[in-house]
Amino acid sequence: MRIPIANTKKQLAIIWFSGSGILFALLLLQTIFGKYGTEITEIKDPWGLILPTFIPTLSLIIGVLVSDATGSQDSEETATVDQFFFRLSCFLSVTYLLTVILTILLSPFSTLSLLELMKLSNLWLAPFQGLVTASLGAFFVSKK
Amino acid sequence: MLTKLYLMLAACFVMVMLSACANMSERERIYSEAIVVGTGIGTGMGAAASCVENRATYYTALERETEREVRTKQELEEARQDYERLRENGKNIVRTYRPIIRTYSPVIRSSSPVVRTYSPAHNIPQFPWPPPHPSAYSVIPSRLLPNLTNQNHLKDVAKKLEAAFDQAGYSQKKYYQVSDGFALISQLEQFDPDGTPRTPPDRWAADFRPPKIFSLSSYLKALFTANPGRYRIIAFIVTSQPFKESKETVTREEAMSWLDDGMIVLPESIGKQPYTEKHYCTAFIYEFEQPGKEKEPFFRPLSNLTGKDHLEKSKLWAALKQ
Repeated sequence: MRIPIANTKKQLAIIWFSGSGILFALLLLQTIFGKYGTEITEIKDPWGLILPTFIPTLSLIIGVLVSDATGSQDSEETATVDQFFFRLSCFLSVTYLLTVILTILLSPFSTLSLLELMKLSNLWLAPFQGLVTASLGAFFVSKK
Repeated sequence: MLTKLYLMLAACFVMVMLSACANMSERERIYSEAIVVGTGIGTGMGAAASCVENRATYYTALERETEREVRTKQELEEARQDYERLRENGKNIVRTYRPIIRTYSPVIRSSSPVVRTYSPAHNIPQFPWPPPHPSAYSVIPSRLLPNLTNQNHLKDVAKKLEAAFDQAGYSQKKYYQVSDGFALISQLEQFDPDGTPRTPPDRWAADFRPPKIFSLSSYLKALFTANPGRYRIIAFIVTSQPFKESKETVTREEAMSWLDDGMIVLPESIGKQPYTEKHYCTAFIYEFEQPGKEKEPFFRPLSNLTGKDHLEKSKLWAALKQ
């Protein structure tokens, strides 16, 4: 079953911008309140670990949106995508973003420090991010 | 391992996407291929960056390890040279004083009862003197100590201090000898920023323990603020000698070793010394902070609390009042 692509792109963009916004706000507040110390070298570590979890995908989505905005409008309005790919992308995106957010939100209950937890979370987040990026790619490519 | 997985995923993704491009118009294919190639390059660069970072971390660790090894070897060599020098000096001293020892040995032997009486005192470990610089201190008012009577001795003061420690929950403490008096050292404890001891077993843990979450505010505090581990050791020093603390500071490990090396009970030779009006008691608080589990604890030269605050919050002040 196929659905119009115009709205689906916006929905995916909303999911990613909301999730990334929450992550960015959490990290910013933690930095301002001194969670990561006062030294620049100490603060760089958590930012360096969390930003790569959403910036590449956000760049991809922005790239597609810019490309649509500068391309012809007629073909976009009639274009459709496979519903399965859209649902898969939505599900994986929401699950992935929740996993990243929960890694930070649940850290006070862990015996590991937040930085250790972030480093450890790379084990499951890196392959997960690969799957999410692949599903998003499949979604955009399935356009007809 | 992770890099390989990354690259495999990227390769699979590129193959799937290129095969999907077969049934598209020319323009769509160009767009799709651009996205696929872009994502592939991005993933590949991510993997390469991760690989380079891992290598860099590994080499930095290796470099540090090598530096540490070199430093240890140098220290060992210096220690060996010190030892040789001391041994040589010792031989010279023995050589110089041998005739004197021979001459006076009968006298020393004849006065052996006196030597035996005081010999236990010489085996008592000495507290560093003058005491290392504390984070905070408080002079205990004489009204909180035993009355000045002819019958009171230092052992009575020790009993009072021990009882206060027991009442406040400190079960382990050690005695040291100081100039004309003694020092009573508490075990290391963890405390909250306001000076209140943490609840056991975290109170007596030597390793970093994250704060307990029991309410929304404590959760938010733990989530957004740094929660350093705070440790302290309390030392009561009873002496008749006026003293000034030294400028030297102690590490947490050194302070913890005080509890290993001291005496469990106050030796009789010190306990039976009279408690005079010249004697006074000072509480020295040595505070340490550990910013995080992976960080080393460090000595805080100036506590946020006064010495009296520390004693009040630890309930020692109230126990001394009784």
